Amino acid sequence: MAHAYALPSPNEPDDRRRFISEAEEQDVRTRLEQSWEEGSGLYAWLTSTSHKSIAKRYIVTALVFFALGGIEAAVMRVQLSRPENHFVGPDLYNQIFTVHGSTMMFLFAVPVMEAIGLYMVPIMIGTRNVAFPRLNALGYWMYLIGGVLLYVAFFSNTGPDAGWFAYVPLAGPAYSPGKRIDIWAQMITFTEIAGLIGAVEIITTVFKQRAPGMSLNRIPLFVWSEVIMSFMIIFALPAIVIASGALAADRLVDTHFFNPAEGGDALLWQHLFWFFGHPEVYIILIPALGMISSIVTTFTRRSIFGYPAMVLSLISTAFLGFSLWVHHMFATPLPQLGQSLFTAASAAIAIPTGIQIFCWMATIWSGRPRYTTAFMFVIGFVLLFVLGGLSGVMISSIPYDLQVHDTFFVVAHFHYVLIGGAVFPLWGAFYYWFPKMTGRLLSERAGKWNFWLFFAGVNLTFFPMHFLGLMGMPRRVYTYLPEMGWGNLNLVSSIGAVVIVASAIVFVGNVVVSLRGGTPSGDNPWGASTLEWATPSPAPIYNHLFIPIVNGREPLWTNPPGELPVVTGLRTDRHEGLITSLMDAEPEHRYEFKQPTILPLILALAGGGSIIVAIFTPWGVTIGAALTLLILFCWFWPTISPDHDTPRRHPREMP
Amino acid sequence: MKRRPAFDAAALPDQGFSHHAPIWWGNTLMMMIEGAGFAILVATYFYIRHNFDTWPPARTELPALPIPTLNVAILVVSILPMWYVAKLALKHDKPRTIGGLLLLCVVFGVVAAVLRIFEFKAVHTRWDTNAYGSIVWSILGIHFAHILAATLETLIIGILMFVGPIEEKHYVDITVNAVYWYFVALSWVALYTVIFLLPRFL
Amino acid sequence: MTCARPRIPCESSVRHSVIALAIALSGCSGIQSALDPKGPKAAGVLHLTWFLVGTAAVVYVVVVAMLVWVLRRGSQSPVDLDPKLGTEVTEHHGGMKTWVVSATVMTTIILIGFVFVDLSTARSLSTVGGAAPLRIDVVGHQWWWEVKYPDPNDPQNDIETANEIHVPVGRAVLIKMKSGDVIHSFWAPNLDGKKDLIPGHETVTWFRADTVGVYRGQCAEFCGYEHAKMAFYVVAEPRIEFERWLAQQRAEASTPGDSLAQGGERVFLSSSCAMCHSIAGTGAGSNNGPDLTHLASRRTIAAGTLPNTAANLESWILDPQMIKPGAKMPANRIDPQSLRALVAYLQELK
Repeated sequence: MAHAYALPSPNEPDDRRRFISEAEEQDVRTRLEQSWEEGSGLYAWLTSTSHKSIAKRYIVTALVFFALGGIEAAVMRVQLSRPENHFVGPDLYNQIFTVHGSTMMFLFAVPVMEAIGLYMVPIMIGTRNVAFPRLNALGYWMYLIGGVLLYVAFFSNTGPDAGWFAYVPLAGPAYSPGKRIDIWAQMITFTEIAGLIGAVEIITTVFKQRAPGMSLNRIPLFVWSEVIMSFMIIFALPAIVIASGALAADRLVDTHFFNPAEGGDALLWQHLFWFFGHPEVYIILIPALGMISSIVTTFTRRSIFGYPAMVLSLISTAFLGFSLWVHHMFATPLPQLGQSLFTAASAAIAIPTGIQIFCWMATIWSGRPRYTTAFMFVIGFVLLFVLGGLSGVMISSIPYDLQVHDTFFVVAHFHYVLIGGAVFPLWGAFYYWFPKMTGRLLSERAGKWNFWLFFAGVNLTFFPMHFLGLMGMPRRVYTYLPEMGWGNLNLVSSIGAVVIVASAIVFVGNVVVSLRGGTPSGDNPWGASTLEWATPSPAPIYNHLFIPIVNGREPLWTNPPGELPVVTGLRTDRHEGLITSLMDAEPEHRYEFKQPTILPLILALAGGGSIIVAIFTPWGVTIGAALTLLILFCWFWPTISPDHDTPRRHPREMP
Repeated sequence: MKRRPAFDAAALPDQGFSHHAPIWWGNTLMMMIEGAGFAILVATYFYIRHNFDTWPPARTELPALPIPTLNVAILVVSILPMWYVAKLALKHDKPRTIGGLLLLCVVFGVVAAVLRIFEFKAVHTRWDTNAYGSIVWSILGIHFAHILAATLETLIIGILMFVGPIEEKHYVDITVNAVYWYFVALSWVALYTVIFLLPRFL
Repeated sequence: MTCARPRIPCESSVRHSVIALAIALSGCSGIQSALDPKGPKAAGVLHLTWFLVGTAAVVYVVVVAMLVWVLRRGSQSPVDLDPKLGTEVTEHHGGMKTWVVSATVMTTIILIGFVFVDLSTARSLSTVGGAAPLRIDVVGHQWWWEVKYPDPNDPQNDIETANEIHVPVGRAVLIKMKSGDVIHSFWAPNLDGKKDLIPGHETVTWFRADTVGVYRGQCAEFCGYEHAKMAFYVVAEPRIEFERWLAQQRAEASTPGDSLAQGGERVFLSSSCAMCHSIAGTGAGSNNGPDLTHLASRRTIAAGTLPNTAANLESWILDPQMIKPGAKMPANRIDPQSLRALVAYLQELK
């Protein structure tokens, strides 16, 4: 295929090259800084449309929620460390485990995985911002309001208390009076809107804004993982939006979706919830797998082996993830033949994940591993996730599941796969990309302490739970009798939680100290290969001085060192980026990114306010709809752009 | 880092139509989200059906046909002016012509919205009667929101075509708005079939 | 192991704790443990468990070994490949492709094996293991178990009790379950896996106890405040003892023997107790709460929370919220003398 631009070849003789002079670069830099500069101060922060600024907020907020969720877990471990303990009573305990699960799943895991994408993907693909900058800001504000809503409720003893999965009829109007569950249902609304917005951003940005030459088979695997996660979000989240909407309607306006007396069905809730809930965990896992690919590439100094297999196995995992949901319902009266299909599918999904692990191993075998903290977290991933995956294959078996379903065995399983499969790669990604985000390196020494404490703590906390489940300890119990014989293992588990807390303290300390006085990292401290390392650390607000052009999967390794072919001719007086074609990333047209505005915040407050009012009265929906439409009117009303290329034409002047 | 210029973007156009435009992708993804939502609602409808011996439930009449059939016809017919608008937009035709046609589409949308209010009555049940009423009203209601949103969006762009100033990207917006309009109309064909036709035949 | 005095649980608390300690240390047996099967279903699942655990352990060791091996082998690679070849590795190392493909094929074969064993185990456990199973109906409530033994021939002979199920050893038991409020789950791991009780649905499960003993079960689906304290006991006894128990349960409540108990009966019938609890043969017929006709024959009270002793009964009646906060039974204002009389009456309801 003929390309519209000159592809650089590593073997070109020197005299054919012309580089942009330093003076020219400085000129462009000054202009870009001027036109992209957002200023400092509160108003600038509230109106920002910079994807990095917004993503950083997401990450920090998600980590705050992670800490809160961790504190909730610690309280639970204290309560369960001894039989018949009185640290917290049943009502508070039930709120705590509900808020812990909801926080970790809705307020931490998915947001942080999207946020790392919203931060790194535009830089990795060589563009300046996400496709819809104002929408991105709206997403963050909705997420923040939803999280604050949940915690204001929790801290005022109105926290939801029916589990993060809120089974009906317990969560329905008859058995959960008050507003606890309504608040939970609307928290879902906020976080799902934010999640869907993030997914739309990532897909559109990756499809249309990649650097020229970055054809589909040259996209970094992390970027692939973010796109695939986003498609899963598109198809999975509507199920919980409808489920939580139906629950809110049953509670608020007397619909009967889940009322068996009027033709509704308690099982309908489970189907709707788990049709979302199972893909949800793969939404969390798949970006983590992408992070591992970035880390393994850099710290073995080899391109990941089997790129097509890697991409196809991510896609298969995504598809298969939608076919497993009934394995959460094996104890219900669904027909056994149907259930068996889900056994097979649940086992089958181990295959594509296995392919990923085998390809990483092949890459390591052919490469030269460097045992940085990030790489250690990848090793930790293999050790923890494979264990969790094996316990998962065990519980895909119906007879076995019927014994351990709703026991601590399952708690052990999903913590191994979530912490091992998602949190460990995430921590590796922090150590890997922290220099790119902040310009400083985290301490490797503290990092190793962080890793080992975390690894030891996770095993100490969750391994005993496998036994507790088989020994008869159900989930979601605020206490247990001494004669059950569960006290010792619970105590060990609780001690493990202390070790995890210690590792968290080490991490926070590492971050704080490194932010202040860590070693400056420079552009590319790891000698990595992808485009985010071709720009200063931290990346300037416009990401790349000139949009890079790519000629391989590992651009910084295939170009002569310190050299990069780039795109010139984009305007610097407005926020301009380059739109390229979907398959081969050939330049198509120029694109204007929207500038900072207060509208996203206003829309979030108005829309969010009416969602919160809807907890109490259905008129919230009507008022909210009206307000939203009004604000959207302002949003979409065209702004006058100064010295536009296309002459502005007035209808009267036109033929 | 030494940078070698290898492509000059200055000559590239400002906008692209159809799948070349990011806004087209935003709209397409939105339709996928809402389509998934509609699919889940339909699945819920059939799930609830299993809990009843007769359908509609005993003592509930079959949904009336005249007004709903008129409404689905109006929505389908409204695709024509919208399609024509999109064609004119591709050619950068006169803004006033385009604006007028958009306002005609708005009329269709308003009529459809008003008829929808009558359709809530036509199903002979309330949202709080039983699970049948709940799911039927939910489908009617959520799609109603779509009709309102599409009509309002069309109105905004229609007014803009008269008031100005017009920029290139507004023509792109018109074509994308048209696609959303088709989605709203065609999704209703499927949902109308489920609510109003299927109980008569299945 | 049977007891002459049914008022105290078979294993006294002290002895139980000692046994429990041994259990905890051994980890392998217990009265609520899937690792200590007392019937064919739990035994079948335990066989499956060993197969799954064993295979999983082997796979894990192999994966870890592979990881260690590639890390060590990797440390012998050059830092960079020949720059002329870039970092594409496929042309060099065809062995890598073979390796990934073989590992994937092995994984697939193992998983197919898993699924095959899973499905055949499931099938073998699904047919009721025995002719003419004993039929028991269970209704789940927040936070207690209503247990009925329906007599198909004569409804007058239906037995109603709470939180304790007696079964004859060696005979299959068919349990039909409903929920009176929210979703619960019936689970006695020594005997069988769990089955949910879902309002609007009737669910069925079966088990067979092949060893005499007392086995504990617990609700295994979060059902509200006191989900943690919704246990039940399954007493597997020889057929003769079981028939004796049935006959005893069929009888009406024993009339109170002494004046203290008679006073207690009057307290029961004249206070709010009768609004929720029934005692066959008296006027009290409400079924909001557990049937108390044969309360004294049960090992525990409050759904397995406390041993059935006079002292515990007194504490429970006085203030259930201290023991099981959130329970539907309110605190009762009752003077100590009346309380003693009431408990004396209740303890005669064998």
